[in-house]
Amino acid sequence: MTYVRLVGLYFKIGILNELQYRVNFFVQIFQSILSLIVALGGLAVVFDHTTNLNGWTSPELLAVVGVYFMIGGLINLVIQPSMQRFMEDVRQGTLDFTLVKPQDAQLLVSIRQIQIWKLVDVLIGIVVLGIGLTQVGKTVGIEQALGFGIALIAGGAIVYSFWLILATCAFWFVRIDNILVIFESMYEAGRWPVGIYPGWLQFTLTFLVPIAFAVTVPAEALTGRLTPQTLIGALALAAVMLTVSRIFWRIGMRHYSGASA
Amino acid sequence: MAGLLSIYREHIKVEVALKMQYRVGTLLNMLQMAVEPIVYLVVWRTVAAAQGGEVGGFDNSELAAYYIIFTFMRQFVAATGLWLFEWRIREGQMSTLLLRPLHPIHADIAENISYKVFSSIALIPILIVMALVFEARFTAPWWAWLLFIPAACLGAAIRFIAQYALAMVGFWTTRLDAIWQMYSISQTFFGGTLAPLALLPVPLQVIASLLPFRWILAFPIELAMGRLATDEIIGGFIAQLLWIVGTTVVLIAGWRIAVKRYGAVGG
Repeated sequence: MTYVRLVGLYFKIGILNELQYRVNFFVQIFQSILSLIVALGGLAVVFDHTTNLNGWTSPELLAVVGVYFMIGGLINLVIQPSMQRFMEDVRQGTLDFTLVKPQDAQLLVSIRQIQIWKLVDVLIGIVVLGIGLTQVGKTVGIEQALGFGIALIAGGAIVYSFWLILATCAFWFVRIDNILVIFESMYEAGRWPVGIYPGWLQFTLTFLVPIAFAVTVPAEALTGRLTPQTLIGALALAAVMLTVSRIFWRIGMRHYSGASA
Repeated sequence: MAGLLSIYREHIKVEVALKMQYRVGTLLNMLQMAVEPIVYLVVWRTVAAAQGGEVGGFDNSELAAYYIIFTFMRQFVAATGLWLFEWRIREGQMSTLLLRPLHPIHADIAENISYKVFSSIALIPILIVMALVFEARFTAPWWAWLLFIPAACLGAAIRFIAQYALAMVGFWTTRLDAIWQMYSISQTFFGGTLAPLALLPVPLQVIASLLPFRWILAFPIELAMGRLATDEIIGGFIAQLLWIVGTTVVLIAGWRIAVKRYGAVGG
């Protein structure tokens, strides 16, 4: 219960902090619209030449784009900025201030920085997803909606653990910005269902940079493609990743010795 | 002239030494540059597979060849970043540059040349792996590859001059990221990132011919694909030269007005 209150409190502080920079809201809308144009333009050009892409129709791919925007928005809302700040803190030695607080440090570093305007992406994602699903025409049953919710939570947990593991590396290697940039560009690949990629790339996008579970699997749930095995696999992977990242975080913490501060 | 050349030589020497510090960083950067083309390559191969092995006259190995040349070209034409101009203007760094007896563009050109050489070398292993994995087939005759060299250099020149001219806007607005985003999205559509231009709907192809992006990126690529007829090649080179003249005029005129507008901030 304390944790829930803590999360709520940090969100409030984060929101108040960002509200100082209201122009950023319009900057964000501008950026979101441009990336939406690229995503939709890409779909339009592709479906000018074909009626299905590896079994996915155009409205179904619209739904994938929606999920892509939602998840990307959530990552950029809290995970990415918090982890970036955490790595900066390790570099500068200011992590000390977090560590002396009487709460779990992993929780604190994970929710500390909120880019509230990224909610625009989440909203755009929901709208696009809605439009896509309406065009698909099949009604989404309770079963699919439930599968979607579970897949989304599992995907979110996997992506979070992945970021935490990468960020924890900052305890040993002070600069890993380049690797994060690669992850961000690889995330672009998630705009398309991972099934279209050749085997080695599918493997990369599923296990090394786990985009498949974050975007494709939830979209599969909504379009009635999801097998129970995949869903169980996603949940199992989420549990494993959460545990591994927690253990890795602990090891990293022991390694932290403060710098310059 | 000889003086200018030796200045360039020194600048390039310094820049290469600077860049040698970031070898791994450059390689990772190039790896990241290959992600987007690979995604579109895979998408178009999937479309080709659904259409019986071919889309708009491109089969699998030609699509691979297209996106490999594209990856090279996009990196080769990259010019001095607008963020750098933004930083220079915002932080007042421009003052130092303006005090020098030589126009700052010379140092930037030298930096850009050394960047191109350095990053092209880092890109080679990545391109080879791409070619092997995606079974690319390069079918253009030797003379097309020969013409590709001046076409690529002209494309890089247009991009460099145009970007320098765009950066002048920063003297008024200080911030340039919105302009950069507009630029990069236009390149995605009209420069041949999203798809080879031949696959775009006709109205978009017409717009593409009127904008610079085609002549910076797509034209040299199509040339190296051996897909252009003689009159298209001649027309392409003429368009490139016209864009060079046009952007240079804008740059010279813009620079004169902009420098008068400049008031240092910070510094």
